[in-house]
Amino acid sequence: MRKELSGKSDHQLMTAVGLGDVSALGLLFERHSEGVYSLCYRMTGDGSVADDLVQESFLRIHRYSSRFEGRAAFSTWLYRLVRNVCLDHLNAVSRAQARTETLSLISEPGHTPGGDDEVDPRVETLRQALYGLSAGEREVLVLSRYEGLSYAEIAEVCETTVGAIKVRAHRAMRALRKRFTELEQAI
Amino acid sequence: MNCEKAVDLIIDALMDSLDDEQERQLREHIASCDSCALEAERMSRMWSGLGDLEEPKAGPAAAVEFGARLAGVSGRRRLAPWLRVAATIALLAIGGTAGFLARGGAAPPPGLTTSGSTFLLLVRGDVSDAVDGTQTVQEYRAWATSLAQEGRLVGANKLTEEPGRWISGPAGHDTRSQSDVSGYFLVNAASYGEAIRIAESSPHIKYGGTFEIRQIDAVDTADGPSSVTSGQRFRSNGYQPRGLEGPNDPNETIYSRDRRGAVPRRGECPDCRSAPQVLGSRGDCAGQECGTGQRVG
Repeated sequence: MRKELSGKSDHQLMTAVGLGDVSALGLLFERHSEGVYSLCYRMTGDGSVADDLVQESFLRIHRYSSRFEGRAAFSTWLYRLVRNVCLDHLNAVSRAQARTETLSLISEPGHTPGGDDEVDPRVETLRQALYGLSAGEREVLVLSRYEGLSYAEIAEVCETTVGAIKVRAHRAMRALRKRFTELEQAI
Repeated sequence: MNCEKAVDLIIDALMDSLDDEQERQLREHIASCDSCALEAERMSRMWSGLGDLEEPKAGPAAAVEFGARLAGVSGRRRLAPWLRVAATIALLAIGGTAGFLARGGAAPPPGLTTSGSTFLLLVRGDVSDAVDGTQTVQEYRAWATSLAQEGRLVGANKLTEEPGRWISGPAGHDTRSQSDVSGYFLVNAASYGEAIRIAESSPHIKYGGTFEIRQIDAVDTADGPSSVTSGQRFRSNGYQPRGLEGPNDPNETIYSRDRRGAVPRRGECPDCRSAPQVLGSRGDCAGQECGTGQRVG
């Protein structure tokens, strides 16, 4: 069955998932789980949490497969779904607690991927500044910087207007700049 | 253009969202404003620095050959991420089936007992050796349907994927990232041995998962059975609160909790819990605290 499905587009696989074909979901997992993991990691800054969110994302793909009507590109639909998974997670942990946990994780020696390698303190400061932003601010920067999405595409993912995303991007970059400068001065 | 607007355009430029005219305006402004030129340089370095943050480690699917995993050829441990999804999807399907059946979608065949005890089968761990996800779902569904048709299935459902909340001590709220409990089945069985045999017949055990089996203890303390509010669910298990034997309907008001949260015993006043000996001659309550004239039994 998987061989028959392997040549199918994402759209066709989603149709199959909607009809209850779990193998089709397996193929989508194979194609997209790495990208989903990357986005989850960028949003949360925690590898083990990102692993869990990948699972949740694909469960939701299965759960909401009937809602995929093909009007938006599959990638946009997927971004939207993963974004919601990440935001649900971040909201579940209270904002203050999330920030405390993230910062404490960041400050733990060895937490930074790369292990014992020397970490550029400037890069580390930037990392702290990024994860000190609110989830809404961070997602715009992540989707632009790491996923290469335009304002219009981010707006589609976030189901809002281009203008709103533009305003959020401006605010996010200013907040990042301010926080980064403060952290640098504190060192 | 003022500097505030210029910074907006610097940000738009970094996000590759500047048209030609805006770019020209920005260049002109920066050429004549040292402050904005410095800001552009700093923002640009920061934006570039974001690219230096470590790349996330490869996701679960990237580390394995997925085809090999499904075929069970290699990497049993690495099967887990995908198959945990498959197993949970199976539970989703079961939850619907069991929920329908437990609500009366199918009556137990005549002659099958629903008496005995109720056992909680807590679904733990990942299944790790399934060949085909669709097949797995069908097997789970068939197993749950069979239990329901035998009148053994009281309920089943999956839990949400988020880690839940852990509470300990006076102020110990905690959110943990891991829990291996993904769902539950409630089944009627005469004994632990029978509950274990039911669990052993499931695809969850066949595929290497774990059940934690616990007997439901229908505690009848002075405060009454803790779970009884309407009596409906427990009645389907053959449960009757102590002292309420007889043909009475547990849903009637007389069985509901009194104002102290307890289920009154036969003969007691549901309001003041007066014992039978203080009831009036007509059965009215003669307790000093009450005098409402109600009684049970």
